[in-house]
Order: sequence, then structure tokens, then C-alpha cells
Amino acid sequence: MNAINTDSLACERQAFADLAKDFSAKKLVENREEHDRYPFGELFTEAIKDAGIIGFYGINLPVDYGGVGLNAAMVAVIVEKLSEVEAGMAGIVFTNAAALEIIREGAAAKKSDDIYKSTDRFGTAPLAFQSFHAPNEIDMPAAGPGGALSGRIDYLTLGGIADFAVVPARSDGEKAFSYYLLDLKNTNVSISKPVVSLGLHSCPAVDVTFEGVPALLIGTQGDGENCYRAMRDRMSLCAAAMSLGLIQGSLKEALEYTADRYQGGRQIIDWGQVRMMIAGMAVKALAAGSCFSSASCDMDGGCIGWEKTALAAAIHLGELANQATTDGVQLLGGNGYMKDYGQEQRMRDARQAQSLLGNALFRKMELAGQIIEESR
Amino acid sequence: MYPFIEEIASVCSGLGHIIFVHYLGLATLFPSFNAKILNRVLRDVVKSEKKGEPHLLDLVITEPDAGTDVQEPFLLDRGRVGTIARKVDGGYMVNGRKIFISNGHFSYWHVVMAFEDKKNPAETFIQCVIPNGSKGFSFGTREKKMGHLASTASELLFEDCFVPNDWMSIVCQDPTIRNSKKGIRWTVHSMIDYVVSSSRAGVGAIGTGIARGAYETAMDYARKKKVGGGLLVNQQWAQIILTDMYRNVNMGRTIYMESAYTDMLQGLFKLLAKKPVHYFLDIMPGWYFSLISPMLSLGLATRILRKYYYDWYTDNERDASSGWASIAKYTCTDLGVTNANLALDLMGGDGLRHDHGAEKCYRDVKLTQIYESTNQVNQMNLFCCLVGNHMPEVEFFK
Repeated sequence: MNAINTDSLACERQAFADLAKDFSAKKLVENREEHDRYPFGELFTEAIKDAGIIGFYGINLPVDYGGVGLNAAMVAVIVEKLSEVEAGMAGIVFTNAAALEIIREGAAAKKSDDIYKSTDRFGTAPLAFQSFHAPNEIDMPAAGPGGALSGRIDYLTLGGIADFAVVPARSDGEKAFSYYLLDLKNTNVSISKPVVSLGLHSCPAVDVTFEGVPALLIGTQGDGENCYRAMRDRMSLCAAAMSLGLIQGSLKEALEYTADRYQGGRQIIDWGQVRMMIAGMAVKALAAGSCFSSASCDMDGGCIGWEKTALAAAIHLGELANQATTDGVQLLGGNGYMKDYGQEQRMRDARQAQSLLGNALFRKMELAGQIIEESR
Repeated sequence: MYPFIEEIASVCSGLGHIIFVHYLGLATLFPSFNAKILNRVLRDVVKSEKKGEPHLLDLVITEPDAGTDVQEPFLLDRGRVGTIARKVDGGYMVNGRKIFISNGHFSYWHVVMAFEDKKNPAETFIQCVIPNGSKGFSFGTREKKMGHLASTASELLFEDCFVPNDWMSIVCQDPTIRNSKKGIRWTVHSMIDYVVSSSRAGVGAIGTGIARGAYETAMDYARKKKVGGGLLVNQQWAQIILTDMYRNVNMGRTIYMESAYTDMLQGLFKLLAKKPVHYFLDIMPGWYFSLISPMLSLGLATRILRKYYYDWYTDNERDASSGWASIAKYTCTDLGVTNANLALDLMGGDGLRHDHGAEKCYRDVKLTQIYESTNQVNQMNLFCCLVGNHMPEVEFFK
């Protein structure tokens, strides 16, 4: 509910929040543990498909091309609610939305909507994107004449299940890079088995290699950095939302468990230190909610410096979620470490989500650079 | 022993855990000071290892409704214990269900804790040894865990499992315990503290091993990863993180070794540190095992050991060894968690991949903050032993 403000879109936000909550209850709760085992268990392909049918992949897609035409703040509403129950699906919605943000930025820079006409898959199936790495953290593929791409993309999120990917590439001798829309079904694209990862198992990633694969340039040549920064500024709010959802889910689980479990002749919620840890989680949940709401309002209102606020919120809430979910496991004791309960998954997912949009320490240093630059 | 565990855990804490838990089983059996049973079990352990079919030990204590309660002497009487040993002709009939038993499915010798009266567990405490194949004993499920995937956490089931008197290592109503100078409760408390004083330093060694594994993984990564045209290891902030990780490893090692020294002087190993015993062990001739060792099966040996370890044990000794073990346990495991987090911080998205090593450290190390009593219970134990122990107005576990 933290993303729900009293602005003109309040009704839409509430509707999407309710929809995500309902979807979680019906599609994600059952077999949660099995889905979390992927790639050693089944992936919830039906749920991934259903999420497209109800519009989760088209929130920030223009209405003219089958989307809802709203912004990343609305995506954040969905991501927050999904993360309370199963952050893997939130990761899928996040990754697709990040790819669409790149496309939107590119289309705006080029003043052309042609890229949207290249496929009818936008909004119905998720796009693949390197959502855990910033472009400056990777070895970039090469873009040849006419946009044929060659090289390798490691840890391409959803690369194993999506038809198209948004990938960065650099032309020979150029410092700047561009984003391209790559057809993953092309025969010259080689996709690895799913990468075994720490968390967000139901939002899997693969390593992809390709040789001379034609790809569509997104936006203008060499404008990749601008597209990335614009996407990151907006999607930071969604990364913060995922952390917030995980904190709230952890607090709820901890409250239920500690009221149910007895040790030392009383409910463990009545032991002083347990209560103190719960208080710590509650403080994090409330502070995180407040921080998120503020960043959301700043973005929606176009306040000066909203980009920095969003970036800081994503970094800070990522840290809080890591602490809160770890404390959540501790409160559940031995049960917290077991997969029968959802808490160990939240702990792994929160840690994984901390790297959304790239290494948090690099993002911190970049934020510091911006602030220092402005202070001069 | 502890540095050996650290060494193994620095690469695979799951394997380190398997080895550690075997010694945890031994460390649980030792404080029974039942020389006859110890002699039989240990001879079998050595013999089976030589045959290439090792018979491991485990500690069977945690129950579905009693985790912390059965590991903390102050809480034992308030616990909802469920594994009951009923006296029958020639032995005891054990019924109950145990969970989260490390090495359960791997072990041959199960050192089981039970109680004669669930309303008075502290004074009716029972420890017995149950080998695989015993009638009424069976394995249940294997828990699905976040980490430590090389080892198991097992459910063990006892349904009218008959344990002959010969395998009852501790029975509180035994005269050597019932008539002990300081009483049953003090003796049970000491027995539990002997176990945790040695085992918690071992968990500290595992935590330190994982901290070291995380440090080495992060350092290796930082020396290869290029950032902004230069190597990550040459970023000043990265150097500070790596230095902190190095510091944490050495701090952890220092602390668990301090606990080991305390245990050697004032805990379970103190007899071994006595000079005559120490030097005798160095020069122990082969005939000791054929001529002297069988005499340990006489009841006299058990009585002498119990007199030494129970009646002559002092509050100060117990507080020092138990307190330092708690310091080692919760400090080293917290440092392990810190280092696993720092490794993932440094490696970002690359650290999330299983094939890069750091995520395993992160999953594995969390367990060390939980087992052998949670770190919070260890903090309370430290308060009882070394912080508030001489303050008459202070109450514990209220």
C-alpha cells in the first residue's frame, strides 16, 4: 500500500495493487517451494503466461501498442505486492519493465515509434534484459555493420524463456554503446542452461552467445548510456519496491511464527530479545515504506533531484531488506533455514534483489560522484 | 581440531559440518564419562574407519516442540519435551521424534537425549546410545535446507525402541549421579555445558572457515575484475572491504582458539592438559590398548571420571569454558555472515552465480548463527556465565 498515494492515479494504483495481491494468492502461493527449486524443479510457466494476459508486462508500454501507458511507479505497485509473496514473479515483471523503459527512452530520443511495430510480443510475453548488471560492469558484445551482433551476454535475465532481449553492444572503435532488440529465436543465438543463482529462482537467467545475429537498433546510435541512465532512474523505484515487499512479507511471517511457537514455557514473541528483533524489523518496514512513498511522490511530481532520491531509496531499501529478511530467518530459528517456510527464500531473494540495476557499491559511488559534482 | 575444521569449511562448510558433527557426537558422549560405553563405541569407530566404512556419531537432541529448551539448562524444566524413556526390564523403552539431526542419515551411532518424566525433565534426563538397525528406531525425512547441502538434517523416529542398560550412558537416577556431591540438576547442567563448551568453539571454527572462504573468493575476484579501466582490487574502497574481511578471519580464529584454550584448562579437555596425562599420551605404548584400556570397562573408571568431572568441577571453571564458547560461537558466526555479505557486495551480480562461490558462503553461513543454540541464546548464556554471574540481584532467562 505504500505506493498508493492520493494523486489522480490513486484508483489505478489501488486496482493494480489488488490485482497483484489476488494474482499472488491464486497463482503463486501454491507450489511456491517447487517453483523456487528451478532449474531443479518446474518453472511456473502458466503463471508467467497469465501475468501477461492480465497486463503485467504492458504497464509501461504505450496504449497504442497494447499497453497500459503508465509509468514505472505503477510497475512498482505490482512489484511490491508480488514480492510480499513470491519475489521471483516480481523479478520477471521488473526485468520486462526495465527493457520496455530502454525501448521507450530510445523511441523518444529517435522521435519514432517504429521499434514498437517490430513485433507483436510486447506486453504479452516478458522481454529478456541484463537486470543485474550495469553496462559498465560487463564485456560488451560487438555491433557489426547493419546491426549484426556478435559476442556474449552473461546472466541475461529471462533469456531462456523470452522471445526477444534488449542488449547493449558497441561498434568497433566506438566508446559509446547502443541498445539493440535481439531475436533470441535466431538460429545463431546459443543459450546456456539456466544459471544456478542465489535467489529469485523463478526469474531465471542464462548466458547467451551469438554470432552475426541481426538486431534492431533502439533509439539513436551511441545513445545507450542515456537510455540506461533514464531507465535506471525510473526503475530504481521498482527495485526499492521489491525490497519493501520482501521486508513486509518477512515481518508478517515473523509475527505469525513467533506467536505460534513456544519455548521456555511461553510464546517466543513474549521473550524480550525476540520482541526487540521484531521491533527492529517493524522499524525497517515502516521506515522503508516512508522512504519509498517519498521517492515515489518525488518521481511522480517531477521534483528536482528525484533521480537521486530514487537511486538512494533503491540502495537503502536493498540494505534494509537484506537485514530484515536475515533477522526473519533468525526469528524462525531452525525452521527459518528450511524450505518448508518461505523465509529462507526471502533472505536469498532480498540479497539477489540488492544487485538489481547493477552492483550496489558501484551505484553508491556514482551517487557520491553526482552529489560531489553538484556541490562544486 | 578446530583449525582443521576451519580449513575444511573454508572450501565446503557442508563437509566441514559432517566432520564436526561426528566430533559433536563424541563430545556429547564424553561428558557422560561412562568409560565402558566410550571404550566400546570408540573402538568401533576406529575399526570401522580402517575398514573403509566409517561409523559416524551424531547428537540427537532437538525435538519439534523443544529446540532451545533442551539445549539450555535454565530452560529445560519449562520445555515441552516429547521423547520419553520408560524403564522396563533390562533397559529402557524410548518413544519420540527428533528433528534437525545433523548427520542423522549418515551416522551409525546415535547419541540420544530423552527424559523419564516430561514434567520434570531436568532431574530425569537420560542419554543413551542407539546404533543403526535397533528395533523401533527408523529414519524419517531429510530436511530441505537453504545451505549445507552436502550434509543432512534428519528426522529420527523412536517407536518402542528398546535400549538395553548396557547402552544407557547417563541415567540421572544412577547412584553416581543421584548421589553426586552437587546434586542432579548441577550435574545435568555441567554435562550440557561440557558439550556446548567444546561444540560451540567448533561452530566458531566453521563460521571462521566460511569467513575465510568468502574472503578468498572476493580477493580472487577483485584481482581479476576490471572496473573503469582498472582492476577492482586497486580501488581504495575495495581494498578497505578486503582488509576488513581479512581482519574478520583473523579475529574469528583468535577467538575460537581462545575458547579452545579455556576448554583445555577448565573444560572438557582439562584432564588431557594435566602434565602426567599429557606426557603419557605422547609416549603411550601399544600394550596400553590390550592391557590397560579394557579396565575402563569396569565401573570404577566411570566413578573416578565422574568424581573428577562432576564433583570437583567448579562454578568458575564452568562459567569460563561455557562463556568463552558462547563468545566464540556468536562472534565467529556473525563475522562469517559479515564476510559473506561483503563478498557479495564486492562481486555484485557476478557473486549471485553459484559457479562463482560467494553465494554458497552466504547460504551456508546463516545456519551457523542458528544451530548449537541461536546466537541470541548464546548471548544470554554469556551474560549468565561471565557478565552477570556475580551479581546477586540479576535474574537469568526471565
